[in-house]
Formats: sequence, structure tokens, C-alpha cells
Amino acid sequence: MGQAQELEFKGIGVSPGVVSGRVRLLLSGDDPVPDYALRPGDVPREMMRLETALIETRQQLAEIQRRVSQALGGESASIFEAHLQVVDDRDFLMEVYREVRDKLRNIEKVFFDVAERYAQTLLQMEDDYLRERATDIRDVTRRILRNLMGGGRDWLAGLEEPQIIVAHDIPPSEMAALDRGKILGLAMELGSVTSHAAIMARAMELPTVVGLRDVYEKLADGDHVVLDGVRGMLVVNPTPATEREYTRIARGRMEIQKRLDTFKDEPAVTLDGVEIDLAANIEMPADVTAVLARGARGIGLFRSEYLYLANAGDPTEDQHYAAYAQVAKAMLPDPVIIRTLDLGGDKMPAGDRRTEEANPFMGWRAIRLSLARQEMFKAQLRAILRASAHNPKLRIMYPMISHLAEVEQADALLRECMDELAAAGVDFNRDIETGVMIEVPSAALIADWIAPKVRFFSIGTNDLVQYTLAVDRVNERVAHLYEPTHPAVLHLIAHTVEAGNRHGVWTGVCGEMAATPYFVPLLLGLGVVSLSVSPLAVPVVKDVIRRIEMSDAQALAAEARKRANGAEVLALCRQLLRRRAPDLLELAE
Amino acid sequence: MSPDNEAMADASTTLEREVTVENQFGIHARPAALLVKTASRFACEILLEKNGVQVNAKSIMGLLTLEGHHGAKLRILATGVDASEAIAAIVDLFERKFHEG
Repeated sequence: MGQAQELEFKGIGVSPGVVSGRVRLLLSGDDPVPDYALRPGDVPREMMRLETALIETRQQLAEIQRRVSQALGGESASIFEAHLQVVDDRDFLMEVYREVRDKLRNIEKVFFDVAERYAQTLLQMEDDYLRERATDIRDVTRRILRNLMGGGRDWLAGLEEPQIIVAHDIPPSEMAALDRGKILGLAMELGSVTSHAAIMARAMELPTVVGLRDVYEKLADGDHVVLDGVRGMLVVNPTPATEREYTRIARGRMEIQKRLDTFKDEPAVTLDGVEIDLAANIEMPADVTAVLARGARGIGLFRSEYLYLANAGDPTEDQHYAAYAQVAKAMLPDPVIIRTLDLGGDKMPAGDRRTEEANPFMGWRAIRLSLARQEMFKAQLRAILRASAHNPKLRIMYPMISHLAEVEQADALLRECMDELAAAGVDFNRDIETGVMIEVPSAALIADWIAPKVRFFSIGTNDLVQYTLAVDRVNERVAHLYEPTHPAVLHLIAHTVEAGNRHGVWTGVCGEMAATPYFVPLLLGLGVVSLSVSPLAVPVVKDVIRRIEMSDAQALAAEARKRANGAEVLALCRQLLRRRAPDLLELAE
Repeated sequence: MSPDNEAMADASTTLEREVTVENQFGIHARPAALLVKTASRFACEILLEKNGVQVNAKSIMGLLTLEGHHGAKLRILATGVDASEAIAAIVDLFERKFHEG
């Protein structure tokens, strides 16, 4: 058999790791449903078959509920309560029974039809959110159907070796039911970094790429693929050369990882003795394990969005508190920065999503949303304050500040929350430090006025670059204009640092730039004193810091500020890293 | 016969109460599950009605097909010995916005 043509697909890497193996397509429950006539005497047997499938389904759901509860907390698992009730819904099952009896069709066909009628009723509703309940109904009824058709016990059964699962989308219940031992990696057509599946994949340390459009129909069971969860690549029928290349990348990452583990507990200090505050970004409390394992000193960015995405409605104050308190305690004595809600109206779970925005990136999102929905915002602030009783270095960060008034309004609400808690006799840290994200150019430019109101700045480079250059980097036609080393970006970073220094406010970076090895010296040279990166990037960034001199970094930054051309700055950055740590430069490609 | 006369409640009396869906996202899966759980604690028959459509409060599939969006007005109908306790428990759920704040 000749070598089939190599095909590359680019998606979004959401959970790291390189794996190579065979494809297993995950059917999305759309297998043809058998349809045949019954004799009247067959009805009891059909109902017995349904009963058996229901028992099986009940066991599976209870197990899934247990696993999700462990991974994401009891609140996220409570959705399965509703799924379990479907299995026990007598009205619904009676309807199925009557229809089997009256129409004399097999149970699979009737069950599918009745369930689909319910789903269709929901799909016709006007309210966006009520329409989404059809997904829940389909998730559970298809599970029952699969059990009826005999495929439900374990669709990975019969796999002799672990494979790479390719699917259109994987609902939470399926995701939780995945047997980690039988899966090498995951590739999906839908999804984003913050999607439920991506979050769970990271928790399971399962290399995963999402957003691979139209990949499903181009693959077949047994196809050979290579999946890179860092760069977001899926290569089908890789040539031996490609395979070697990925093996080399994987081995390189592993070797560096091994070496990095040896100085996990060492400080992030430059050769000439300047210590840098190296922290990690997390999405959820479970990520703390990875943070501690990789030797980060604190959490520089705790994205609170998962709480909103994992729950059907806004999280309650207690749900917020439980998550924050857990992280605050686990990280003691190191600092934890919690960023308040940074979703846009477009990503809110429901309700507010009804009006679609033509330009969500410049729309109603983050602090703007929080200040408009004060009760929701105050629940989060009160929860953070309550958690601050457990860790004196728990800090608050407001996202997407563009106007000074936003900082003042947020602070006023924070003070209201403090008064409420004090009146109720609840313990909290009255001197809690607050800071802002600098990610809109206007905030960088008015940093001198913001600084007196805060204790720290955290530059979100992804958005800052995007807003400064007016480039959506997901848009292929303009992606080449996305340039972190553009002189305008460097100017804004430098200006922020200097304004902060004038007021005793420190500046950190929590965007992707901080995790890119060749940009680390540049940022330090510009005066950034704190970097916060994903837990996996911590060791590499620490390695860079430990192999450079601050004087080199400062010389680099000074030289970079003189260049009118971003490409030249990029070349300078790479030159320095090539001189100091050529292996890390290669890794960063 | 006055439907609100709870003293009269016996196995054949139907008690009625009107409630409004106050929680932000309506009766989605989680509140529906809570409703079923609560309703199932009582022996009486409990129906929820909206625009003439009645569904069994003990049936999750039925509840999900009710258009219980935010702001919807629903009628609770309970018939049976513990009807007044059942209504009180369900009204309480609505008033607490199904614990969703």
C-alpha cells in the first residue's frame, strides 16, 4: 500500500502534548436507528430490553456524576441529576410503552421518536436558553438509545491499543466517561480554549486540539495521525520525515522537562542575581496541582470564567467562595490574583446573549458587564473578600479597564462589599491589594492616573497587541500584522512600567508574550518584574531567566526601543536567546 | 368552593397557586430537576400549567417542555391529601429562585 497524501489541519491547541497513533471516530449518536414491526406478543420483551438499558444508563450516569464532581466540583455534576430523572420519568416511559403497544414498532425506533418529539418541542421555543435544554434531552436519551442498541457500555471497548479520538463535539457526560487509558489524544471540530471539553481535557492531561473545522468527514477509523496539543496541529498520513520531526519535538520537550524538574524548587533568578516573580495562570482550582508541581511562586492570573461557563446561570457567592478559598489556601504563603469576570456578552451562558453584538471585542464585556450587573459583580467581590481571610496575599484584578472611572466604580463597589461583610461580622482582609489589567491602549496611556488607585498592573499582551494594532489574529488575512514587537506595543509596555514605578506600583505580564522564551528577556529589560504563564510553561520560562543576565536584558530592551521595525526587534530577541539558550529557542519554534 | 380554602383540602380538592419564574435563566435543567425532586416527595398529584398546557411536576421531560422562561407566570395545581404542603414547598422553590440567586 502506497503512502497516502499528508494532510495538515490547524486548530487550537487546548491541552498540551504530542501523540501519534490511529484515529477512532466518535459517533455523535447519529447511528441509524433500527426500525421493524413487532407482533403483539413481543411488547413485554421490548419493554424488558428498555428496562435493562435504563438500569445500565442509571449506573453510567451515577459514575459520570461522581467523576465530574471530583474534577469540577459538585455544582457542575448536578446537571446529571436531571439526566438521572429522565431515566426515572414514569410519564415519559409510559408514553414510550403506549406507543410500542399501539404502533407495534421496535423499542429503539419508538424511543427515538418520542425523545425526538420532546427535543423538537424545545427547539421551537423562542427563548434561547430554553431551546438549549434540547441538548440535555438528547444527551441523555441518546445514551439510553446507545445502551439499547448494545453499543453503550463502552464505545472504546475492543480497542487493542490507545487511539486518537476524533469527534465533532463531545458533550460533558461523554467527556467525563472517557477512559483515559484508552485514549492518546482528542481532536474536535468545535470548541475553544474555554469550552467545557477543553477544560476537562486539561484536567485529564489529555493532549487535545479543538476548532479543527470539517476534519471529521475527511478522516476514517484507523487513519494514522500526529496530534500536537501545543501548536494545535493534526497531521493525517504523516510522512516519515514529519513523524520524525514531531518525535524530535516531543523528545526535546521531554528532555527539557526532565532537566527543568531538577530546579523546580530553585528561584527564578538571573545570572547577575535579580529575582523575578514567576507565577502561573489557572482556570480552575484543580489546576493548582500542576502549578505546585512545576514550581511556580503563586497564581498571577486566576481566570474566574469557568465558574460562569460550568454553571447554567450565574454562580452564587458561595460557589465563587468555595473555588477561591480552595486556591487561596492551597497556594499559601504565595500570592493569588483573581481576575474578575472577563467574559463578553456573547459568551455569557444565557439571557443576556439575546442581542448579538456586531463587534463583541469592543462591546459589552468584562468590567463593563460587571459594572452594569452590580449584584452579580458584588457576589464575586464578596466571595473574593471572604476568601482573603485565608491568604493575606489574595488580590483582585479588574479586566479590560479603559477609563479611570471604571477603576473608581469597581473600588466603590468593593468598599460597599467590605462594609456589608464587616456589618455581618464576616472575616476578610481589609488591606486586600487591587490591580488592573492593562490590555486596552487607553489604559496604558493613562497609567499615571490609574497608578495611584492600584497596587499593581498586569499587562495582558494578547489583547493589548490586538487592540493597539487593530488586528484580529484569528483572521487569517490580517494575522501577519499581529506583532508583539511592534514599536507601539513596546512603547505602551514601557510607558506602563514607568508610570507604575513613579507611584510604587509594580508591573507584571500575564499574556502569551510572557510564556514565549525569546520575549522573556525583552520584557524583563523593559522593567517588568513579574511573569505569569500557564503551569506547563513555568519551567521553560524559569530556565530562560536563570540563563540570562539582567544587564543583557536591559541592553536588549534599550536597543529594541530604538527600532522602528518590529521584525528587527524580533530578530534581536531571538539572537539573545540563541546565544544564551539555543535549545530553548528551538523549542519555541 | 374556594380553591384557596386550605382547610377544605381533602383527597378530591384541587388547590391552586400562581407563581412567576424569577430566576434569570428560567426553568432549565437544574431547576427542573429540583422541582421534580421536591414534587416527588408528596403523594398528591401536582400539575404546572401555562397557557392552558398542563404538565406533571413529577416528570422531568414534561417540565422541560413547559415554556418556563424568566418572567413566565405559571399556575400550580395540587390534588390530594398533602396538597397544601406540596404547594407551599414548590412556591418556596420559586420564591428562592431555585437557589440560583
